[in-house]
Amino acid sequence: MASKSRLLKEARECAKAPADLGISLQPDERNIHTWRGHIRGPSGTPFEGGTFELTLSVPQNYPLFPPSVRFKTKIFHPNVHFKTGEICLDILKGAWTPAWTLLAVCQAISALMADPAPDSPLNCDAGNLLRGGDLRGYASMARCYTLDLASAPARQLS
Amino acid sequence: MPVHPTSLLAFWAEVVALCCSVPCRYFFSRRRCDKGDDCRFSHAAAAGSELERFEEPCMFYARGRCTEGDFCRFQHIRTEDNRVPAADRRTPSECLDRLQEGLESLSLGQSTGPDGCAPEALGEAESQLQEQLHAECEAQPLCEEFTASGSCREGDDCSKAHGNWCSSCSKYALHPISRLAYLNHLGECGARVRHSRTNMDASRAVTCSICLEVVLDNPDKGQRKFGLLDCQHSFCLTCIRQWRSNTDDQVDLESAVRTCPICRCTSHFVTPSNTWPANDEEKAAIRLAYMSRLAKIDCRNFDFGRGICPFGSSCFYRHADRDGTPMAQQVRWYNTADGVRKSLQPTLLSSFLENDRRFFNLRR
Repeated sequence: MASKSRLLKEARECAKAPADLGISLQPDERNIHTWRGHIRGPSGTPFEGGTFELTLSVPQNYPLFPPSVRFKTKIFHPNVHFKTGEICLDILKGAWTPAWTLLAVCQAISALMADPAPDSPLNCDAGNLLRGGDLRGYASMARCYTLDLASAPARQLS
Repeated sequence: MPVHPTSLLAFWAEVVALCCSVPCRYFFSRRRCDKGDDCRFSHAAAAGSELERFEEPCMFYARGRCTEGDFCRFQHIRTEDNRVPAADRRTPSECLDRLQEGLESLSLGQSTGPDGCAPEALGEAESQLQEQLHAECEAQPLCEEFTASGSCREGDDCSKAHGNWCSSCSKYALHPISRLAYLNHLGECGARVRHSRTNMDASRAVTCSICLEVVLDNPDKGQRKFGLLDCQHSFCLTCIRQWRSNTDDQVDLESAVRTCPICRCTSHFVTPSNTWPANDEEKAAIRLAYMSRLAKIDCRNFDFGRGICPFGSSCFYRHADRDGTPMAQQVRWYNTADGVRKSLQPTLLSSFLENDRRFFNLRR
């Protein structure tokens, strides 16, 4: 009950969010506990120019428990599982606090895209490239996948 | 005989089902319940049922006022013993009348005196007496019993002044004779009322960072309370308590649950408050008042020295004997073979001799 009123409030806040944030977030029409978000790839990163879709499933006892967030668009990033889209981020697990909102979670994911943590990889290929110091290799791989899977023309085609 | 888990479950289900139909006693008597929607007892049944009234008079009403108002289950009548005698309600004008009476009797006595005084001397004596009487009356402190309750066991013979009703603090606290004390009290009361009003205005805008609602707009009146942490961030009492009672393995206890959800500063306890403190001094005062309130309640874990309180000497509740003597808990520690430090339950020889249940079970 409490989660529903808070989610409605967050939905109103998200509608008012500035466009230059690069994040759009809205709940499913039929189920307030399922949200869909789009993150524009942060500029200055290999993901620039891509738009990444996220699915957020919010538990009934939200905000006491974190939402589970997955990338729907495939992304080459050390902390995102390439096949399932699972994200390894501390605030979605042990470091969650109820003061986080869904919009803030998306901002944190956007920050994670700009600043990957290769020491706890879900995508070992990306992690190994970064840990080996091959920044150029990582950037070109990520850029390639972004152009292939996340850029606007590709999305239109699919 | 061991109880089968499924039968235990069924038993609990039965208990819960039974509770659902029982009216909530808090909602019943006060028309509010701190548990709100989470209460296991029925609020609908409580709201529908007529309040059961007692025959006895309400002691709080008799002493002055009762916070329960119409929902009080005791009789709101002023009995003959505690009704305020009319003579006790002295107004300054009445006191001056008395003074006048005294003066008249004095002047009568003087004028019928054998030697007969000159009118000037009489006037002087009169003014002297007046001053003296007035000073005496002015210096009289207010009777505390009468101030709080509106009645005094001494009645008319009370050596202290019986105040008049002050509507802003709801006490008989206005000095009947001393103009200075009267004005002082009015000033103090006014300042307090103004202060609390500005405080309430400031509190009205404060939102909870967990439910994102304005704390004082909660539909449940019992939940319009702030939970204060060591930092400056605001939360509903229920929200922050819910978050801090989160024992899920997924969420880290030390770094997330025990800390402020916004700034992650560690707070060891939450202080409930009806208003949002404007500064640190006010917060400290609220906290001190809360702690002193708790220090009067006997600790359930300590159980008058029979139990163990895991909080030891830092427990907020009272650790005392049945007659009120403070008792310090002696915690004995020992190290296990693995190097783990553990506390030892205190064992009293007397409890062993008195067939304490613990030992009784052990011996059997």
